Amino acid sequence: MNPRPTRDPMHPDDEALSAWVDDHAGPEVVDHVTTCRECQARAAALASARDALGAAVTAPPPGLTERAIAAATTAWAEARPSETRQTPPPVSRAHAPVVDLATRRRSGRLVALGAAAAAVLALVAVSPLLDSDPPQQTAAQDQAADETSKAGESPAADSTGPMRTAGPETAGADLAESGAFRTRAGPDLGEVGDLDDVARAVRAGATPGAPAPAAEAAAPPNSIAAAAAPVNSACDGIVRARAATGEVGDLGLLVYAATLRYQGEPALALVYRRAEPPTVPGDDPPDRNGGPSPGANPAPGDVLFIVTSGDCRALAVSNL
Amino acid sequence: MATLPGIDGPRKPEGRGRPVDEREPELLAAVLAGDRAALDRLLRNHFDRIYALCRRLTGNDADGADAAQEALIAITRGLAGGRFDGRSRFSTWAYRVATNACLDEMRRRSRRPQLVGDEILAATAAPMAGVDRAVADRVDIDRALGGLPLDYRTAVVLRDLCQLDYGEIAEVLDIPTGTVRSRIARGRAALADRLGNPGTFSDRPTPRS
Repeated sequence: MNPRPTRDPMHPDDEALSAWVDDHAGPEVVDHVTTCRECQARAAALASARDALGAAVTAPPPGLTERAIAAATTAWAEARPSETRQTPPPVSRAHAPVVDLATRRRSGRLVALGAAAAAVLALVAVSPLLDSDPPQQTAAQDQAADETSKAGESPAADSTGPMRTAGPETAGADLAESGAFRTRAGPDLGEVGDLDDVARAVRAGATPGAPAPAAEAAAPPNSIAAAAAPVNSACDGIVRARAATGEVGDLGLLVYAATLRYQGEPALALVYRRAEPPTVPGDDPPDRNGGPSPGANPAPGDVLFIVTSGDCRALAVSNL
Repeated sequence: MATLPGIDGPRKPEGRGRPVDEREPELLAAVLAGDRAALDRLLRNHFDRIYALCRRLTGNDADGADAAQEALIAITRGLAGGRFDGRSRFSTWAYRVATNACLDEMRRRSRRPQLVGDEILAATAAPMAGVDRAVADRVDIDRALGGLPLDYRTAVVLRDLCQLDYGEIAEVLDIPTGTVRSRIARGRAALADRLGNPGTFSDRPTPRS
């Protein structure tokens, strides 16, 4: 090693000069380095060490990238939860069956349950056609929703932050490429163990003044404020990606979001309008300009997803 | 800050090598939704840098390759198991996983005989005559890095190779930012000495130890 001069407390130390190299130094160090040749030389040495390390990057050996990615992909496939590893076969978007992804292994029992649920939902879907006074009911809902939204307007959600369902207009532009729309934040649905109960609760919770049956015991009635737990906005993207590659197809507006515990897991109920909604008389298109939106309530033809609130893992999907 | 003559000066985060993919959030969402093609792309986007990290930390090609492969497997298992929570950037989390994989690999390697202490210093000081300059530089850097305490080595590699900022390194190593700054300074100073470019002096005071 070369002999070195005695340390001089008047100079910045290596830590300060290294910080200068990284543009993290304070103004006094900057001023000093600007005028001190000795410190300039030392800073240059530190910078050269930095550059030597960065410049001597070697590419992976031939074949390593492919081997490593193949091994990692295999490990990923093995580590994925079994219920989400399987890719369901494509089916018609307009006739997507009720599928409980979390318990699909119990398919026989679920098929029976699903058939029963489909029958119930079909009746619900047809009922507006038989109802002599549906427009007034929808208008009343929308008026109430509009009043609620005026009381609790919130800015668009940050695309990187959690989406909060503190009010009925919290979805924000990051949740749909189509721009402004309304996502109704339902009350916390409480502990729900059955997909049909969730669907019923969502539908009931969509009507102001009608507390969700499943929420009555577990959460305060109509507790939109109680649904203020953060809703992971990443789930929206994940659900859309999964739907696009699976049986459901492209999704349109996210019209409803609520928290719940589904079969013991903290979860979200997300209701989407289909990108190409089936033609159902009386199912008005949503207003995408932010005004009162007849289409903002969950409606027949919408798709209900239940996902875990933490990592957005799909638990169940169903038609409303 | 003005760049001074002879000094490359502060390097901005957008400098070389930092993997940037504006579609990464979409890729991650697709991966979490089970999209294998998205996983493939995500891994390719980051593998070269992960390999470089492992290569630099372990100090040789074979161990670097083993560690990089183990790191990639650990990353995908972490993704499948929901251990990436999105609070940090994916690259930061991936580097953390990779660093741990490297440390595991080095623990395994430590069971094999190695040069230690003065032998490393002697090897570091040995001139690399008669070989290609780039190869010599690489070997020199390997030797110089290999002689650093692991704490310093990890900090400077994460900073100068992976381009993480101090806060990200603190997160990866789970240490305070001030400690990161100190380790980087000490690591660079030792590297400068070992690479034969100490500047005018290198025994300057470093207040924190």
